[in-house]
Amino acid sequence: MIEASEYIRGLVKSIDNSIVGQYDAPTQKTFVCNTKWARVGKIVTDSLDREFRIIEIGYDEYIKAEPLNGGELDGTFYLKNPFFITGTKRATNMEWNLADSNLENKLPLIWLLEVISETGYGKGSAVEKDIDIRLFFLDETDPSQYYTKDHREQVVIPMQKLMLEFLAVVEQNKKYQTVENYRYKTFSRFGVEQETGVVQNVLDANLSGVALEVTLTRYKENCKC
Amino acid sequence: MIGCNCDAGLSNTGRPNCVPIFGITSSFIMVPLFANDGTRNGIDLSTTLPTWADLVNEADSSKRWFPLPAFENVELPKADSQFEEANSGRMVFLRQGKRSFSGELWAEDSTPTFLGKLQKNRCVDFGMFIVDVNGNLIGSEEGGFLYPIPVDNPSFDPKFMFATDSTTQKIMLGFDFDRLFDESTMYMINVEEAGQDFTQLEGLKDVNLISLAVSTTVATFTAKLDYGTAVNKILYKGATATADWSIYNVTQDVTFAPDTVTESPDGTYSLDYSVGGTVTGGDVLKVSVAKTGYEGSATATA
Repeated sequence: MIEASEYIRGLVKSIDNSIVGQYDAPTQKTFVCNTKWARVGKIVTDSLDREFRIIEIGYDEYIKAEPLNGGELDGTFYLKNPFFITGTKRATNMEWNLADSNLENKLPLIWLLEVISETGYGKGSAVEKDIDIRLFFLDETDPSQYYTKDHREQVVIPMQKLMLEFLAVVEQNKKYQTVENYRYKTFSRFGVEQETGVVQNVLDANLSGVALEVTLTRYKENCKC
Repeated sequence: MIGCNCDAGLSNTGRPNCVPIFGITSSFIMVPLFANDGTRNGIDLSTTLPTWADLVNEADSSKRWFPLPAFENVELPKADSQFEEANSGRMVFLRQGKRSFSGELWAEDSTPTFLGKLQKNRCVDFGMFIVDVNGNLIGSEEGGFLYPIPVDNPSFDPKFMFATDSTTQKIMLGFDFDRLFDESTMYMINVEEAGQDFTQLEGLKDVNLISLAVSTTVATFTAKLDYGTAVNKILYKGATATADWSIYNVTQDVTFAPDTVTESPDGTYSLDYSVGGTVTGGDVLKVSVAKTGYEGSATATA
């Protein structure tokens, strides 16, 4: 039996960060079926390791990107993998700050909030455990430039799509029972809220995103002899 | 019914500390019981295990593996055994009850198109390898081979269910296993031994080659899958490598690959074989999809 946060880390690692697109020379757009968690300003890498910065996006329709090392964004390309961290508010803030000085290298962030509640099952059940988790899918936002609508369009939508990619990984992994329902909250600004609005950031960065609450049920595996 | 072994007493009941047990049934892999050449389809356990993807992509459909998607709400109940009871109350065992399966395919796995493909299975003598949620393969071990568990194929009954306010669209599948199957022969090949998580195997997709026109130098057609809407079937796109296609001259009994493949617009192909092809006017050509994961062909006269 593995500790619950390691199971979640394994699921996050399995999120597919590839997008397949077709470049259209006249419009300079790359047409795709699923933009996943791509957003304006982010860097994507193609199969030749060339970098492109996204300058325009139509969600689940197209990506327009400027090449940083030449070339056209065509075929399979890759988004930055999400940065996974687990812990309480205080511990996470400290560890996340120490992880990397460059914010771009640790975003988007998937944060598994502790304490994690689990239910174990005995010999008579095929289920190993139920894991109640609260996950935050977060990316940076710009409170000085963005209106609320911009926070939603530029950050909340991509993070909601990242959440759906996480749930798709759970659905594809037959070791987990099918998730029948989940609860989530979207927020334009991630922080401590009062009646007047967000008064203090929880982590030391300006972030927006989605909070997901879900119970994952994992089946037992065979003993390793 | 399993007979008694009169030469032995009771069976020994010790067991090692760690024995593998089956997980919850996730899906099945359908396999014809016998190939067209008369051989029984099974996995030879005395040699290196096969490359599993090759079994799914096997050209001979009588030897091919047909993996089903993952099921929900799986149940595998066993009917009560039958006994004859004397007036005195004494009972004599007659036979075991049959083992049935019921499960549901949800959402994208529940299209009427897929229902049609499942319904055709009733006419074939086939068996199932069970795949559990941990990705292990479960079959019947017999004489050094792992065979699919035989299904009573006339009992195979897929049913379409429309979506409601509280339920998604579904295909409900039910069938009985062969009533003579001895369940004590079941063994599994686990993921580590196989080097394969069997929940990840996917069946072939049918490709329809529409409006095939062939000349002595070029073949043109549109390629579509069975799935999509009534107006727009999903196009079979991106098969632009020469190895993605195979051309068989039925008249001259010669097989060759195209020299070049052009796709324009999406799903419409032109295969040029003016250099490497062997075709004269009036020859019958069979154009086939050769890309891994797909199957389809059409025939026309040059």
